[in-house]
Amino acid sequence: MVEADFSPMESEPDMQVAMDSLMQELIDEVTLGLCFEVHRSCKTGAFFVADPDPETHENYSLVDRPGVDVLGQVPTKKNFECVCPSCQRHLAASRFAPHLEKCMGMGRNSSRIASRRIASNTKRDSDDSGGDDENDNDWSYGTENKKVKKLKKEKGANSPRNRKVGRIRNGVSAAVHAPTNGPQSSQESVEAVPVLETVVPNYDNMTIEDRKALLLNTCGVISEHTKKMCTRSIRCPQHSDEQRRQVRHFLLRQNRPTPDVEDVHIDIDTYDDAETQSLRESLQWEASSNSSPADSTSTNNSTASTHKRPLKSSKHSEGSKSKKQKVSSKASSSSSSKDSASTSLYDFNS
Amino acid sequence: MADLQERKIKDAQMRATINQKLVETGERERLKELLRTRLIECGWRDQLKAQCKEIVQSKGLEHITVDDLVAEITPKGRALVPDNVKKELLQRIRTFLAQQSSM
Repeated sequence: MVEADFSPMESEPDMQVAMDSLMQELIDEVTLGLCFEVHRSCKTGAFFVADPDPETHENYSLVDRPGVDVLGQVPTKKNFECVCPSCQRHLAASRFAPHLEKCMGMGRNSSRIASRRIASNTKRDSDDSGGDDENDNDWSYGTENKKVKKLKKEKGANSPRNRKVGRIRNGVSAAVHAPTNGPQSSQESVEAVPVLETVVPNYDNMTIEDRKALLLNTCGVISEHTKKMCTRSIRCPQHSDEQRRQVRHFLLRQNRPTPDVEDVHIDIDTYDDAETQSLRESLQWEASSNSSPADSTSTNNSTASTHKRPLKSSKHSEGSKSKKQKVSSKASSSSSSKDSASTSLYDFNS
Repeated sequence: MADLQERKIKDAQMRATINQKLVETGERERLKELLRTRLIECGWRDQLKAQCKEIVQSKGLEHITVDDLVAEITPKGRALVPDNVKKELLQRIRTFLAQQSSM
């Protein structure tokens, strides 16, 4: 087509009209764009979102008071409670993750605990072998579990965390709450059927064996105000040897009746006499001499230990368990360990 | 009579040519962008949106159509454009045309 020439001869009004119409076209296009946008927001439901009605304005208006946040809430930390999916317990949110680790058995810590438990179990089994197999089997099943419980309880009692508190917990909770196990794994005390001793209020959840085990490694002096045993080492400077001896006397006297009660299943006729006698002897010896010579007590024990396991050392006596000791469960072990334990119990100055 | 028709034809031709030139050079898009910016700045867009809101509320959100909106909004939109925006736009167009004619 012919190129229109925009020479200045073009009439101005025509030009003006053309330009106006062009401008109108542009404006109309922009308007159309806006209409499309509005229509789309209407159909997608976003049209009235930007400016809410006055009711919501009132409900959610800005709060500007001191001590309170913008929504009018006080800025305290809310404690969220969670329910464990496996054990159905209510837990604080901050404790949820560590609890799950132990509860479900996943994570480094729980596998470590489990493997240590297995290791200590197998060690105990190996020590107990050598004797009447049928008897051993019967008892081993029960005692294993109780030993495991015992182990946990002991660990729970002497773990660094519980050392500060000085509390002794029962059963599984002890294992759960003791993050690091003290050097108690070598402790070999027999099953842990909790015996409630009415006499001493602070040992409600501990068995006699537990206490003896404790007395072997810890000071054990019962504090007057808290009625709890001192869990520091055997050479704890707070308590004197005399105090420790008193405590052990006190506890051992309590334990006397139990051997008779427990010795139901086993042939301990001679054994019984011997061990009580040896115990009496050892105690008499202690009372008279008022010293704790390892030699004297060991000679004492050697006479009585004819039918028992050989006495290695006072501390490690529990490591070697005789059949009788194990079979008679609490009683014999208590008595035999009493002998060795009594020597080591009083063995402060070695 | 014939002149009128001729002039109309000429007008149409001229406009077509102008449009063509604008599109080819991309000036049309630039003009449109400029116009949009200016209209937002002066608040024309918000005014018009408020008008739209009224229309939507009157017609009902479910039954609103694009045609309805366009038919109602366009005349209002034309009227609400401020003069300075119009002048600026016209200036730009004139400049463009002057450039074109001189080339």
